[in-house]
Amino acid sequence: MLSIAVSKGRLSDAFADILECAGYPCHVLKESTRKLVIESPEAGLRFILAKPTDVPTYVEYGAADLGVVGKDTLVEANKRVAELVDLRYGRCVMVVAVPKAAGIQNVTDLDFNSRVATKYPHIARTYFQDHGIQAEVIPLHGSIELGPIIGLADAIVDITETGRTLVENGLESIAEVMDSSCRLIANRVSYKMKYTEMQRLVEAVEGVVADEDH
Amino acid sequence: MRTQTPQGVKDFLPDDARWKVQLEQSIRRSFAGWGYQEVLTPSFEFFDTVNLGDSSDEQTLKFLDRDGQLLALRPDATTPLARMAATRFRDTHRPLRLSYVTNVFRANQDEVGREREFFQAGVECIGVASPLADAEVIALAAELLRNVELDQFQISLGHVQFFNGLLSECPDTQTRQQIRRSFLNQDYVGLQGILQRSALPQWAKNILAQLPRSHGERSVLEQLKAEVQNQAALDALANTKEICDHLGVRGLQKCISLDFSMLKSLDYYTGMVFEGYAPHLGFSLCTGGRYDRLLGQFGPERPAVGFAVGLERLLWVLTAQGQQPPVEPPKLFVWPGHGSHALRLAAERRAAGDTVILDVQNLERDEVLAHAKTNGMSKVIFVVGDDVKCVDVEQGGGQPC
Repeated sequence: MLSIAVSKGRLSDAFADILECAGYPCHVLKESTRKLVIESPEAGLRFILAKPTDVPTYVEYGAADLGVVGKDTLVEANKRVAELVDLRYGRCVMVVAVPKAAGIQNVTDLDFNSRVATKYPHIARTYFQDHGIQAEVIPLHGSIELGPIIGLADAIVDITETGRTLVENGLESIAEVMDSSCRLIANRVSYKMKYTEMQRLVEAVEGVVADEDH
Repeated sequence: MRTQTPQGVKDFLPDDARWKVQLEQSIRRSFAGWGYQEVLTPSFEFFDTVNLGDSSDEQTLKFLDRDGQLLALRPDATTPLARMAATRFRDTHRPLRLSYVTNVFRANQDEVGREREFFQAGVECIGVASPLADAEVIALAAELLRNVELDQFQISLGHVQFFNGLLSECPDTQTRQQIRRSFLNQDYVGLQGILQRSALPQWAKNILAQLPRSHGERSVLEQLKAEVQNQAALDALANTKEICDHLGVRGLQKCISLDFSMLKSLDYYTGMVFEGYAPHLGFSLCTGGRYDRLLGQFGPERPAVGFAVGLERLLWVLTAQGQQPPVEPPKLFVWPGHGSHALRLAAERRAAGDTVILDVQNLERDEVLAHAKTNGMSKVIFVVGDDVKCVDVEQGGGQPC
């Protein structure tokens, strides 16, 4: 039996659809439940329902063989896992955004020691370091757009799907940090010890994802 | 006073300490049985000595001494042993077989499974470049794991020259680094994009793209051989085949799985590399490989191959598969704990291999049995004058001793 760490909600529903198409019955994943571990014996899968940011941790320690997590969360977590499949849903872009009124067009125009609010401090620090920009990163846990409005921060680093939230809060993107979408990840040892079982699932999932793309 | 220990170090209480010592004894027997001689190196050395791979720089715990010299706690055992072999056995031309059981230190923080102080046991076979030496080291690792009664394990075998050979087909240094990083981080999604954009020949792109999946049995060797058009990579395949042949003769083909996507974060490997895995452990259990140029950093170049097993990880896996710490040997309690007769008796029993504990609290006679019971003694020996009586703590009664 393989265990898969997923976060409950829209993204796990999309993953459940992919698994169903791939021949792994897992309607249990879409049922409303408060259980944290649910099994689909007919598919040979056990689902561990975790917070999105904890999924890479479960997988790194081998508490789960596989995991489904956004590339943004995965890079931020910086865990030693194997990244196997781009599931191509949950797409978003991580951007640097500033208040429209600031009139800044380019990240290099940010003031020295600008304060940047973000849920992704690791990614933000690496990005600014790579671009030679001196910035003070302020880690927050949500509603990042609030930062510039109340004067806590000069800019934000956050993900956006359509850009609507940014516009509604008077922000505009001045740089793209990275593209993100959901990824199927694996524990590095599980991927070797349970290779055949896992590879069967990986290839079935890849098949479904490739079909949907066309 | 702070009563916690820093993150990443730990105490071993008697049960765990006894278990660890027992494991070490079993491991030492394996090493000695194959003619590996145990050596010790200092806990710390000059930073420049132990910091050979650039990736290990930030992983090293460094400090300054009073002369302002930068020192480092050994981040692994292989580099100090290479230094020792290259300098202290400079003129030795015969193969050197050295082993160690030691603690090593890393600057890791906040990561379970990657402690700041941990224990390793391993061997280095120095002076021979043959596939037979590679096979010997792998076979010794397998024997060690069997001897500690590990139910199930797998050894993945790869070769860094295969990967390097393929990469040498890529003219652009930056792309080479990106591909290497993808394999090190096992980012197989990012890898596909990098390969597509690269200037690698199509055959090399195909192999690299499929490499994470080129797992398993010896048929992988033939498949890859048919596609590869690079001499270094072909040599690596031939070398791996020879090692596999030797392992086959040793009856190890069942626990060996080929994996040419395996890269090492330590930079000194030059040939075959391997890792051992067990169920219930999300990390590798043992790791090793050939490093033919490391000794050259300290003296004349000499080929070498070795491996190390992580003792905490081994204990973890054995616990997960249901093993218990070894039981403590039975303890005898001698009362009263003074008087020449009692002391002589205690000495005799110790000489015969028993664990003998003398009463040092001047217990009253009627307290002795209760005390012995709560303190895990199996028998009490009462010595009153010439009268010696042995009482079984569980069963009571009294027999002459």
